[in-house]
Amino acid sequence: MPKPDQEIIRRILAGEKRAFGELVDRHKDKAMTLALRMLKNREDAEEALQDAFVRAFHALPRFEWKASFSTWFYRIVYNVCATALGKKWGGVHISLDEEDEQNLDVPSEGAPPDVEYESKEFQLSVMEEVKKLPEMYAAVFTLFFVQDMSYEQIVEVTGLPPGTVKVRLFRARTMLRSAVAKRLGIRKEIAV
Amino acid sequence: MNHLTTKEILQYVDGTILNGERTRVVDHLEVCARCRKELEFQRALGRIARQTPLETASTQLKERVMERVVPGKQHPWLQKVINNLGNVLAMAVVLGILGYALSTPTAWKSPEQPAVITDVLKTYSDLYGQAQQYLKTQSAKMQSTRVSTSSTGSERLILLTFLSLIILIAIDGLVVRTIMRARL
Repeated sequence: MPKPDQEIIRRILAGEKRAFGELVDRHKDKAMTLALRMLKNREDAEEALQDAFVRAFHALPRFEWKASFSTWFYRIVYNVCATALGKKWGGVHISLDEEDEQNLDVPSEGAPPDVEYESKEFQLSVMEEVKKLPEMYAAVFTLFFVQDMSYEQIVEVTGLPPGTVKVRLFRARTMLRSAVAKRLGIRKEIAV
Repeated sequence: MNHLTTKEILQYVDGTILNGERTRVVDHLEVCARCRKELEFQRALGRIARQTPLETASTQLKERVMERVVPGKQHPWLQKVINNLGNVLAMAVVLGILGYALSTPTAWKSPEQPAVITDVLKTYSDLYGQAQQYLKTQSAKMQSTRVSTSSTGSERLILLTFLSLIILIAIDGLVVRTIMRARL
């Protein structure tokens, strides 16, 4: 049975600094997925992740034992990546209707294309379109689907208001839906 | 017929729809093929998004992180040399050139040469002579090998490089560290 993160943290705080490597092994790939979806560049993502791990190590004495390490650590990863994005763009711009949950109450788009959900084509389309999601939506989407976090946990990680998290996740899903439907719909038309 | 909104469909997929709404959505899904199709599409998207393989961090990531959080134990003097390797190499190159100039007696007695350079070279030559004299004395004391009275060019270069290292360490210890301590 794998040791819980808290046990490893106790060992590190007791002086066994090398045990931090176990935490790196456990979380590096999920954290890399979040960083890469946000930064869209492997080199930048690796650099951000390295920075996040080092920050986490130095902040371990301030770790709140009630929280899970993953939520606490992803908050660091998210902040490092958001800072990197801020430097790149000069700040993340949010549209005026971003916070408004009322905007979600829209009728669904036209009927989805007829596709075989178990087909490689469908799976590949979804996986590729997920990677293309815009940075600000990709973070929330990845935390929800890859890290399997609840809305409350995403709020905790990102520090965004609950309404914004809902809106961003909704937008990410509708964007993905449209992109996949368009891609598969076009292919169907070509095939016909 | 009014179709379900995307929000209703997604809430139904996530299981976050309110109980009062749930009955209406379920009733609608029973009679609307298009909304059922949309529901299945959204469910499939979510399922594949969860199954998307994780990105893999490079194998060097852990090493680099560990190197930063738990630096390897090295000899302090070796660390000092590594940290100043660039300076040491640069100084060695400069001294190599100076050594070459010194080994060619006419080079530093050129009438076109500025007086400052001549003075520096003379000072350096004096230091070099003293160091050479010291080594000769030590060598004679040890009575190990005969000291050559006229050093070859390569011996001079080695001696100059050695001398430059001593000067560098002295500068590092007396000047740089004093400034660093003052800043802290």
